[in-house]
Amino acid sequence: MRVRLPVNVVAFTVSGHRQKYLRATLDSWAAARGVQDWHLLFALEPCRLFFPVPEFTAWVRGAFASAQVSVADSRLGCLRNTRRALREAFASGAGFAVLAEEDIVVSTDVLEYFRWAAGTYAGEGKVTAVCAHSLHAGSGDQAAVVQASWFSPIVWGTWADRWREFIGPGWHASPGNSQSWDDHLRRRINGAGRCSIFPVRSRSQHRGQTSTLTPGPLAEWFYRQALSGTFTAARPPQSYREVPFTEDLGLIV
Amino acid sequence: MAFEYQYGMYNPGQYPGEVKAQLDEMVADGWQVHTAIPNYTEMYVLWHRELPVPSVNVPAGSIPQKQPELAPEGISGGLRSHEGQVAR
Repeated sequence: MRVRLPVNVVAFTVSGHRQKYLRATLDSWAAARGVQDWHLLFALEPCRLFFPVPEFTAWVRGAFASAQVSVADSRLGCLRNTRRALREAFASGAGFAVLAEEDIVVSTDVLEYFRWAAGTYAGEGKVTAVCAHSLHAGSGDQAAVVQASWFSPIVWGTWADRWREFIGPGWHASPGNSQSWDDHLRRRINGAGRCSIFPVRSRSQHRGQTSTLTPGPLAEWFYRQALSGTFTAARPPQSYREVPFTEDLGLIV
Repeated sequence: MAFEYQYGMYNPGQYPGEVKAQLDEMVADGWQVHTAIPNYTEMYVLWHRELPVPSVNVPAGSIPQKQPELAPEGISGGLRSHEGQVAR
């Protein structure tokens, strides 16, 4: 008897305020190998700018093998719309869901990386998320990944059980920034002694320079740091492997 | 080739001068950035440093006849070390 595996979903938040980045981002996902095996869920929210929802819906249905557009009744903001996207993904039966955003481009092997990590760490409950981003690397090893008690929101994924038991129930923002679910999740992962998986060479690249969350000098700092010096769009298939580093030992020979 | 690793969490957005001095000190000690991951103003850095390879230089014909003495109990090899969290 063939066992039907849970579907994998890319949950894509679209605020409508970063339309000049959106097309390049969608093109990068369309170029990702294996995208035809994933369901793409676009979580739109109403915005002040004109956003042609019917045309967008038609376009994504033509560009991807399996795509759905879900429009919120009212503007939710980053904190609530991101949670909505992931809730809908897991409610649809996803075993693993990736959270994508409209101003982050990805490499051609990003879904191969996520599929490998989703299978490799499925049974390790301490591994809370699989993140696609790194800023800087001293190693040129394209296949290396590391575990770190940290989190990066620049495209990431998680499993249904970890969403249900850890991430979802504690979904809040950090004090001082009402939308900062990512900073809050980073602190929770670190505080709970949990970890995430990161590629040594980044699989995602932040392109955005428009944000209502972090105005002024902080925005400058944030976006400059979010850009990656290790990102390459075109990557051949890799035999991913974890660098055997653990924070408990600090030394592996 | 073997490496030792350690990690540090830094907040260069809040303490740029202090963090730069800490990073410079790590580099001066021979550490290199393995992976750096940002999150807002903070940064997680995984450092690595190549372990020195013990030199084995035995001249021909000089194989020792006497077995080396065993180390006394309680002085077990201390290969593992953990320099701990660098900054936070």
